[in-house]
Amino acid sequence: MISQRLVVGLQLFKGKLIKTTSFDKENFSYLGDVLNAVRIFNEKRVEELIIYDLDAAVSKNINFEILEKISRVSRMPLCYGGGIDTIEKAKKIFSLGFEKISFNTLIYDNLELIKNISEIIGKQSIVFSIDYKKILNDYICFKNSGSFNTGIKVVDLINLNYQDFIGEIVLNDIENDGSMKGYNNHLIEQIYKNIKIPITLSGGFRDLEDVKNIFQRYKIIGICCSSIFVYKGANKAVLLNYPDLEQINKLKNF
Amino acid sequence: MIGIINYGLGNINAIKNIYQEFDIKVVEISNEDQFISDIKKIILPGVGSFDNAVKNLKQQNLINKLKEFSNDKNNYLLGICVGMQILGYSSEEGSEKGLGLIPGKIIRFNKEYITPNMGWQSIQIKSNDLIFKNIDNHSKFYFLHSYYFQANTNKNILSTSKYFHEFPSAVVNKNIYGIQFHPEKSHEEGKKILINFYRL
Repeated sequence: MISQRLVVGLQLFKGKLIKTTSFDKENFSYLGDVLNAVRIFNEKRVEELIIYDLDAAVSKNINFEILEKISRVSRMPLCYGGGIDTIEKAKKIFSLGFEKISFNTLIYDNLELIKNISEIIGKQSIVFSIDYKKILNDYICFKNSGSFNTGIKVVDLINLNYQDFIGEIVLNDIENDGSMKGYNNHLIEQIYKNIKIPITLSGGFRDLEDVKNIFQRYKIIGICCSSIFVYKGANKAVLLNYPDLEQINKLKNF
Repeated sequence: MIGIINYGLGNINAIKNIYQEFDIKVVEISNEDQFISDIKKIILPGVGSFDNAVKNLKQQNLINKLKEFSNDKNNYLLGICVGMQILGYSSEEGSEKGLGLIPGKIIRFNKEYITPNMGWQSIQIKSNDLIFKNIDNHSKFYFLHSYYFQANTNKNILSTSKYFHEFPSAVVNKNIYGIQFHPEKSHEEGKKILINFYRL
């Protein structure tokens, strides 16, 4: 009865595949060609892929051309986030072959629009991507790619019972993004018991052992990693990788 | 040749991409005139909610056409996800009537569970149907749903899966198939199902 998902998270910036640290868009690493990466992850039978376009998140110009190409080479579930601010854009991404679309800034700026989109394409396809930082003793939601403090506590947002129109919540730990320090589960530990929709954790996973520990603790959970699946070794040499089916079964076996 | 019902927001391209990879011609069907006699296999993908899907089919005058199509035993119909669910009689998700082509009704997972059931689950194959040709028992597929098809009789169940409890993950009634998971998003095993359907 378990349902655990090991998701690969990829970031796009001006059409290129990148990896940030702590959401820093001034200082990131180029990883190379996104289509090549998607092809490799597809061959490795990745369970799910999330694509965030950091550029589109600001400019609101979604690179549909690249999304179409990504969809064409993928045989795995796809989620996209970045710059979706109209029903038309949402429909378009969905029609390209993505099954989930992810919202961040719009949660705080125009929740009604997300509800409308949900009615049209179905709530199972709507993802809240919540970027948060720990401030004093609270976990606080940020918008605009982590640059704007909304003052809203993650716990309060999640208690608002959005399950009537969303299908998943992704929790992004801004400060641990790209750090590979090990996952900090304080927040999920506080909220897990009360949630009724799937949660996906992201930010700071160190290695597969770290992933396994979280899988052992929560029966229904998604884990989204980037650094683990794009880097190899202490010097962070770019090497795309993903556990095979046997390794995955071991990670989830408890 | 394969027909795919286009009734709004179906994830049609993902299915098309796979058939095109095998050079199989795909024709989109969005009105009754596009049911041509060359098309013997039709896929009904999932669109949003149960009621939304049925309403869209009604608006495009596709319901009777689909029933007629399935009445011909030389034809095959495959519903995927919500496309499977609307093949039943009714759903707890809405008030519209389903197509009633496979005896059963659509039930919501207990509200105490985390839903949707999202992710890769194995299937337990209950019948040696050609749709599962070359597919090992307990193979995993991608699921994304909060409602499931409760078949009236076991003879219509092709496979079951488990999320808190067992539920039918694939059903059949003669030449009409329904699968809850997404073959178009399930890597190699999913491709096999779509190709198996094409070869029925």
